[in-house]
Amino acid sequence: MKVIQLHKNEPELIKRAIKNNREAQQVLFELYAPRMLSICRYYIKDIQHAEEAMLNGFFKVFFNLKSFNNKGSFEGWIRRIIVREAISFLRSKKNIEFITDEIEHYNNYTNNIKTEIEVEHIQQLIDALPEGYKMIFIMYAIEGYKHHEIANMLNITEGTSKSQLFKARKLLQGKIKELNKTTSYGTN
Amino acid sequence: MAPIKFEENIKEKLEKRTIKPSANAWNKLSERLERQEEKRGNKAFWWLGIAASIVGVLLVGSQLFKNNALEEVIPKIVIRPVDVKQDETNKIATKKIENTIEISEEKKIKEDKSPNQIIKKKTIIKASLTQENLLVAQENTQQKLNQKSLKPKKEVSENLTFETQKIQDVVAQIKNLKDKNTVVTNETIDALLAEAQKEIALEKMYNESTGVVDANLLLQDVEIELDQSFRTKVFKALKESFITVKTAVAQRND
Repeated sequence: MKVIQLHKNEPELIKRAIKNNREAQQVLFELYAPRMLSICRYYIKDIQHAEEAMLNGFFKVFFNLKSFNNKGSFEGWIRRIIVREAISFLRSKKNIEFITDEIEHYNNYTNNIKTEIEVEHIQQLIDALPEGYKMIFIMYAIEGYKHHEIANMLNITEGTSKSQLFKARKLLQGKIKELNKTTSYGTN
Repeated sequence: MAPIKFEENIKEKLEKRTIKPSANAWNKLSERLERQEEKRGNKAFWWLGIAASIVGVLLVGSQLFKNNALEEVIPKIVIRPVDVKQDETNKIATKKIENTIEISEEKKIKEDKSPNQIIKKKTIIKASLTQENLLVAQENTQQKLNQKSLKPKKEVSENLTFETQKIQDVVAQIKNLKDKNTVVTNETIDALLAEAQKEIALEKMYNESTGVVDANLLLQDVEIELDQSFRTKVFKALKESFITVKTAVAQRND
């Protein structure tokens, strides 16, 4: 009963979490971690690394919870932190090149199982993108960031962001066309 | 439009996805948070210590500063009123001196008269003579003072002459008393010396040429007088008792 009540009262949970109440922190973590891990997974192919990035993000969430002030969506606030964490994780692992040449051939997936598999297909398509394309595509198309925000976060120009997005789209479309030829994907 | 449609499609699908973190994910995070709190606690402790020491230093510093300020201020406060009131005190002092001179003269007469009356007629005459001498001496001193005001350079030598003259006067008085075979008691000698001292002190204290009285000397004098008051009271009491005994003896002899 207590947990259910806590779930309903998010501001109260946040208040407690600010006071380093582990129980409240755990409830918040369990509430948002699966979504946030999925987001990390957009950017990071390795699930363990994705989880690492997510935990780093949550650590920062709880560490800076005082500065949240209940303004806007709490999920949105966590999400921004997690995305930044995922990007910085990628950057720490390797130097990202915002390449302009063609990418390697993408392996076709012929699985025709609904939703779950479809999502996996999408994820694999995204995973196959070069890091530079991938980050910008996810940030723009899925996270809904504007080009100037992306440029600011990745320390690139808006032009680079736009060109990378254009190329990512082109690449993905090609791959999806290929997929559609072999499967029924994308017809709906 | 195609890419946007495609993006909306994949966005919708990806948004629905959730990935359950590993079983020990929360434990990892919890441990990290725990460690961080310890660090924070230690940091807070250190900061608190540093803050407390700074506050302590500031308090001590301010206290010292205050003390210094007080030390610096107090003398200023003390000095100014003295400067302002000096003229007034001078006036009062000069008045007091006049009074004391009058009183001392009266005392002299009384003190000189009282033993002389009791002893013999001759001594009375001599006492009157001594009075005259004293008066003359005073006149001399006044003249000398007037002279001093005219000739301030000779002040020191005149002061010396005044003092020596006083000594001579006292010695002469005692000699006179001895010559006339009267009993010269220690009290009378003391009284004579005290009077002479007073006069000398007054002479020193009051500088007629400038009309300024030395405040410190005046204060000393007053203090001495206060001390003496008890002594003189005792002397008076002794004298009175002595006189009563003497008169009784004299009357019996008659």
